[in-house]
Amino acid sequence: MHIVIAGGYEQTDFLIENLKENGHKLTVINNNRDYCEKLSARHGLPVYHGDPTRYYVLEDAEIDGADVLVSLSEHDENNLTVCQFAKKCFHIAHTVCTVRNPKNVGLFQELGVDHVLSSTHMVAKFLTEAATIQDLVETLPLEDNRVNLFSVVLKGEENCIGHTLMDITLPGNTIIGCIIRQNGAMVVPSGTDTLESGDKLYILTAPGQQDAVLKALKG
Amino acid sequence: MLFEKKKSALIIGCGRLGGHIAEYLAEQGVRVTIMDENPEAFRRLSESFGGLLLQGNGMNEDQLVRADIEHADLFIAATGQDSRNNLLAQIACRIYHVPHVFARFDDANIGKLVEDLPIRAIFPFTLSLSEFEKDYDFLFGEED
Repeated sequence: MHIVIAGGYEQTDFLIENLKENGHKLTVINNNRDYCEKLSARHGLPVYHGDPTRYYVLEDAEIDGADVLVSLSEHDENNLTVCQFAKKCFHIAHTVCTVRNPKNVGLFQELGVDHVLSSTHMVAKFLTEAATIQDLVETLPLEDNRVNLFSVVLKGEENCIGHTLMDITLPGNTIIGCIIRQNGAMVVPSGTDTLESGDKLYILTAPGQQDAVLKALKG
Repeated sequence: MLFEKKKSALIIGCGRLGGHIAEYLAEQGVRVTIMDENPEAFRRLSESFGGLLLQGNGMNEDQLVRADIEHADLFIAATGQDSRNNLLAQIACRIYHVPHVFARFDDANIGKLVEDLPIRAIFPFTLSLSEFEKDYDFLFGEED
């Protein structure tokens, strides 16, 4: 994929490192000359120096038709401008940006940015999900919160222990995707696998259903 | 016009453009609210200016709601930053459906982002240039 990364500092460095390993074609644009040189030297990439909210900078960086643009400016309004330019003038199908103000998540989506990420927003979502559920180890919201991946460890008192998966009735839209046995073995389960004490279950479910899933496991 | 409902305008940015628009609209009998993040900027306004002054940059939607964007007839995005004006004008136009939205842009290219929307873009640079061209043609047009 051709991925454009506009603006940002530490996140940009981290993102380049990760995406490079996966063999993507990267175009990096940054407004800070020193940082451009640093990024270019460290990653062996061409880095365009310029303000990505300017049309001619995006034009010079030859981003037309790229698959994804990620805008990481610390100023929310700049991210909106960059993403709107990407969509409207450079035919980029997927735009992603971060925002400082969590209230801009919904607003920017309404104004045409495909994915808007706010760390505060995510933490808040995580806490509201997690706070209602006991015994919860991790919750990861996926697909704009339409799916949750969470894990739970069976402590030994649950009624589901000793039963095969096909004996346990889980709520709809729920699947136990993976079992980590106490000895560390990983099992992608089928209906005939039996749950044991100490198992860690990774469960995919619709948001708001964790309580029901836990209830079904405890019996 | 005695019984006509008074129009109301919300202006973000009390720079030279925003300040002058505020004074002009107030003279026209429009109820004006003007917002700037720097309270010093309001010194630009005359002492007789009767509009409402609010401190803020409008980058937080709550500020705009407090400034009664929902009932504004006119909205003018006149900060010194194109990206801000773009965001503000789009909030006014697309979220709050303010009937008349104006935005000031230094870079004419940013106009591409609002060209399909009912937003009137003001480009001070383009306007100055076309004034110059008009004068130049008037002065020297016949020589060629």
